Amino acid sequence: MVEPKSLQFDDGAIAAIRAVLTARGTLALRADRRAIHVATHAEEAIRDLLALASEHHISIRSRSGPLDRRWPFRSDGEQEPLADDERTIYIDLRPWDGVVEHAVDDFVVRVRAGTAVAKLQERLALHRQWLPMDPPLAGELTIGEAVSRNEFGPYRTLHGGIREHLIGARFVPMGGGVTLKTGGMVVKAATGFDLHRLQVGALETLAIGVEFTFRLKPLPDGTRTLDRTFPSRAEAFSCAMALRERPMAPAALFVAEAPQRLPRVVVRYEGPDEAVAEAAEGAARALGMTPTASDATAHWIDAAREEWLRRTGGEKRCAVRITCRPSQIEKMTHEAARMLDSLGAQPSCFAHPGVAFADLWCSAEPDDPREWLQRLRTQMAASGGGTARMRWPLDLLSAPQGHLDRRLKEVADPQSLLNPGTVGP
Amino acid sequence: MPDFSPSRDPLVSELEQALGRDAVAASPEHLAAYECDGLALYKERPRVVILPRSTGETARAVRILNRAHVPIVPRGAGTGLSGGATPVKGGALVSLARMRRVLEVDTVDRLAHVELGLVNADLSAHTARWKLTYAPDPSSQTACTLGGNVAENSGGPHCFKHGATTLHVLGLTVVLSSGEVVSIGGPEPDPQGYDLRTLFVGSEGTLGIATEAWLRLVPKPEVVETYLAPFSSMDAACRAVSAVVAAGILPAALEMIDDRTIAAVEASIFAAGYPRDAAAVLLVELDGSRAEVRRDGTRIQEICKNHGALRFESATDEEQRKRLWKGRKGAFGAMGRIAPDLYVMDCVVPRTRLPQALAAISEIADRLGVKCANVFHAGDGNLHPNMSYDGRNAEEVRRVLQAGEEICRACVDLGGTLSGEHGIGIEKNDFLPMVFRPAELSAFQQVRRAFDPDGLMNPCKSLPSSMCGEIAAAARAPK
Ligand SMILES: Cc1cc2nc3c(=O)[nH]c(=O)nc-3n(C[C@H](O)[C@H](O)[C@H](O)COP(=O)(O)OP(=O)(O)OC[C@H]3O[C@@H](n4cnc5c(N)ncnc54)[C@H](O)[C@@H]3O)c2cc1C
Repeated sequence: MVEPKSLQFDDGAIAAIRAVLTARGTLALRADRRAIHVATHAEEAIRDLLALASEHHISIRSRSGPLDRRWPFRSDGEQEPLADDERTIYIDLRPWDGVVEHAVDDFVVRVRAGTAVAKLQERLALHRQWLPMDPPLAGELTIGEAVSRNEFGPYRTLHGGIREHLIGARFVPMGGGVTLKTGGMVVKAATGFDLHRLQVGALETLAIGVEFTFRLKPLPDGTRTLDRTFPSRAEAFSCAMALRERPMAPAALFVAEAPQRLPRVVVRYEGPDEAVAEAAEGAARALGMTPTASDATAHWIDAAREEWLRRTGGEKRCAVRITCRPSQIEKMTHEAARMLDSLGAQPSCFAHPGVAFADLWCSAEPDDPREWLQRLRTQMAASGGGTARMRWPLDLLSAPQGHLDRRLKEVADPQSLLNPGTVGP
Repeated sequence: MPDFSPSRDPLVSELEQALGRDAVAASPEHLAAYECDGLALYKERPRVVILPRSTGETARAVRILNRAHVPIVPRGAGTGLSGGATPVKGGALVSLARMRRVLEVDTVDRLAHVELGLVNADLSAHTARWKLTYAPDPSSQTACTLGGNVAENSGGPHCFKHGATTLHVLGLTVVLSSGEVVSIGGPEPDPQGYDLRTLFVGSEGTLGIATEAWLRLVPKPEVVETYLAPFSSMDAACRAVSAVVAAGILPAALEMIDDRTIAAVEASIFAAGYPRDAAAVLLVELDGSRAEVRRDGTRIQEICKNHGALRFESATDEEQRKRLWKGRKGAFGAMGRIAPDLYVMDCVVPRTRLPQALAAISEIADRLGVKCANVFHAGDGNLHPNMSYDGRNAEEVRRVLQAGEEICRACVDLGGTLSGEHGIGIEKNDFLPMVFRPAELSAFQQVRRAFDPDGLMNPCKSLPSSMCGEIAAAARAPK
C-alpha cells in the first residue's frame, strides 16, 4: 500500500483523501503520481471521496465488476498505462457486497452493488426465488455493474431487462456527500422521478449506485431446452421468429453464430411441467428442434458464459450491441456483421430475436472507433432503422437527442468528473 | 389582476392566428369546464385552453407561450386524481383531446405508434382484430388518455402481472417548454443514451408535453379465467393474497373489494353479483396457456379455501366475466351513491403489510368520523381508500383531508409510499418530505431544470410548496 501523501495531488487534496481513508477504514491498494486505487466496503467512504473529488477537481472512476474496460489495474496487481493525465481516484466497489434485506414473502430483495449476481441467485434459490436475469459471467459480474451496463442474457426474452425488475436504489451523486434514495420496497410507485431506473445503462456517469432493490420471481417449476443448427443465418433467424409466434412464449431464445460454426438456435421454455412438455414437443415437431443434453440451470448459464468469454477474448477486439424492431433483427445483424468483417476478422454474434438485440464482436479493432460507430449507425439507419452502442474498445453513451443527455449530465456532474469520456456524441 | 377576457388578451389572438380559432378556447363557459381534474377539491380557471391537432401545432403553441412566459399545463381527459391537470394561475392548458390517431400498428413486432390524446381503451379496441392488446388498464380506461397514463405512470388491475405504463412505453415524441420537439427512445427496446423514458413516464406533465408514443402490445392469452372468492374477514382475504404470491403463482390480476364498496356497487348500475354478506371479495384473473391456467386455478382455489374463503367461483362465461370486472371498474362511480363527493386516495405498502395498513386506515377514518371504503390492487399492495363527503361542508372537507394525510403517513411508516399510480400533483406535494429528504427533492428539481430551464411546465406540481413559492399556494387553496 502506498501512502496517499506520495501522490502528486496537491497538499489539500492529499490531506483530505488521507482523512477519508483513515476515518472510513478504507485502504488505498495502489497509487502513483496521478492515480489512487481504493477498494472500499464503506458507503461513507464513497460519499466522502465524491465530495472531495468535486472540491479538488479530481476525476472519479468507479468499478464494480469484471467488464469495465476503463480500469487500469490488473488482477496481478500491475497497473496498465493511464490513458489520460487527470488525477483520478479509482473506486472499486466489489468489497461493498451482501444482501441487506430479503423480504421473502414480498418477493423483494435489497442488495449492495458489489454483490456478484450468482451469489445473489444462490441465496435467493434457497427460497425458490430468483432475480429473473441471466447475464454472462454471473459469478463475477456484480449487481452494480449489471445495472450500470444494463447487462442481460437470453432470459430477457420473457422476463424483460433489469430495468423491469429494479424498484429502488440508493446512489451517491457527485459533490453532495449524501446518498440519495428513490423507489423502495414496494413493487409499484408513482412518487417522484424514477432516478433509480435512470441508472440502468448509464455507466455510472450520473451517480455511483451503492444499493439496489429488486422485485423477484418464483423459480419456475419445469424447464425444457431445445436447440438446432442451421446451414444459414437466414434459416436460423426464421426459425427463431417462428418460435416467437408459438402459443407458449419462450422464456429464452437466442441465435449464436461464430466463425467456422453453423448458426445455432436455442430455445427454453419454463412453467408448469405439463405446459413446458407440450410446448417443447410442439417446437420439436414443427421446427425440428431437439432437446439439449442437460437442462440444468447451471448448464444454461455456462453456455451463456462461454459465449461471453469468446466474445471478449483476445487482445484486440471490437464489440457492439445493436437493437431494432424484432422483425429487422436478422437484417441489422447482417449489416453489423458486414461492418465488423471489414475490419479484417470474422465476427461472432449472439442475438436475442425475441427482444431484438444482438451482441456482435470480432478480434480486430477499428482505428477510429467513434467514426466506425457512426458509420455503422448510418448504415443501419439506411437499411431500416435501429440503434448501436459500442461496448469495446469504447464504452460510449451517445444518443440522437444528445443535448438532453448532456444537460442531464451537466446538472448531475457539472465538472464532468464522474467516469469521464463516456458520454459521447 | 389583468383582464384576460378573450377579446382583450393578446395571447389568445396570437394563438388563434397561429393555430386557428377552433384550436383555442378562452370564453368563460369553455374555461369553466377545465377548472379541475378528477380531484375536485382544488379548482383554478385557466387563462386559455389550446387544442392542437398535431405535434407541430403543439410546438407552435408552446413557443408562443414560452415567449410570453406563460405557465403550461398539459391535459388529457382530466380524469387524474391528484390535481396534475388542474390549471395554474394565469397559465395555459394544452389539451391533447384532438390528437387521437393510431399512426401505426406493427403486428409482427407488437408495437403501436399513437398520438397521445388517444383514449386508453380505444387502442386495445383497435388492435383486437390482430389479437393484440395494450396491457395497462386503469379503471378509467374508457375515458383517460394514453398521454395522461404516460404522465402518471398509470397502473390498473392487470399491471400486477404486466407492470405499469413505464414498462410499456418504448419511445416518446415530446414538445419541451422551449417548443423544441425531441424523440426519447423509439421503436427499439433500449435507447442509445440515458434512458430518459424512465424520467418522462410518471413526470406528471412537468418535463414537457408528450404528443406521440411507441407502445408495446401483448398478445391476447390463449385462455383467461376469472374467479371470485368471498371472505368473512378482510384480514383473511389479505393473507390469502400473500399466500397466492408466495406459492409462486403470478395471476394477471388480484383485486380486493371491501364490504362498503360491495354494498355501493350492488346497489348501482355496476351490480356484479358480489355477495352482500361478505366482508371482502377477492377477484382473481389468470391468463396464459390452458395447462398453466388449469394448474394455477386449482392451486389458488386450495389456498383461498385454506384461508377461509366462503366460496370459490369461476365466471361461467364471458358475460359473467365482464360483469365481475364492471363491478370492480365501476366501484368509484358507484360510490357516488354514498355522498355527493368522493376523494379517491392512492397509496402503497409492501403486500404483506396490507392487513396493518387497512387496520390503520379504518382506525383513522373512525377517529375522524370519515366514511371510508376500500377497493384496491391487492397483488401490488396498492390501496385506494375512498372517502365519501359533502364538499359544501367545510368542516367535513377538513376532516377528509386530515384523514388523507394521516393515511399517507401510516403507509410510509409501514414501508410504503405516497402513491402507487395516481401521482403527487397538488394533492400530495406537501407530503413529499415524508418520503424524500431535501437532497432528493433538489435532485428532482435538477432533472426538471434539464428539461425545462424556464420552469414553465406544470410549475409547482409534484414539489413541496415550500420549494416553489406563491403559485403553489394559490393553486392549492381549496375553492
Ligand atoms: C373513475 C376513475 C378510475 C381511475 N382508475 C385508475 C386506475 O385504475 N389506475 C390508475 O393509474 N389511475 C386511475 N385513475 C386516475 C386517472 O384516470 C389516471 O391518472 C389517468 O392516467 C389520467 O389520464 P388523463 O388523460 O385523464 O390525464 P389528465 O388527468 O388530463 O392529466 C393527468 C396528468 O398528466 C399530465 N398530462 C396529461 N397528458 C399529458 C401529455 N400528453 N404529456 C405530458 N403530460 C400530460 C397532466 O398535466 C397531469 O399532470 C382513475 C380515475 C378515475 C376518475
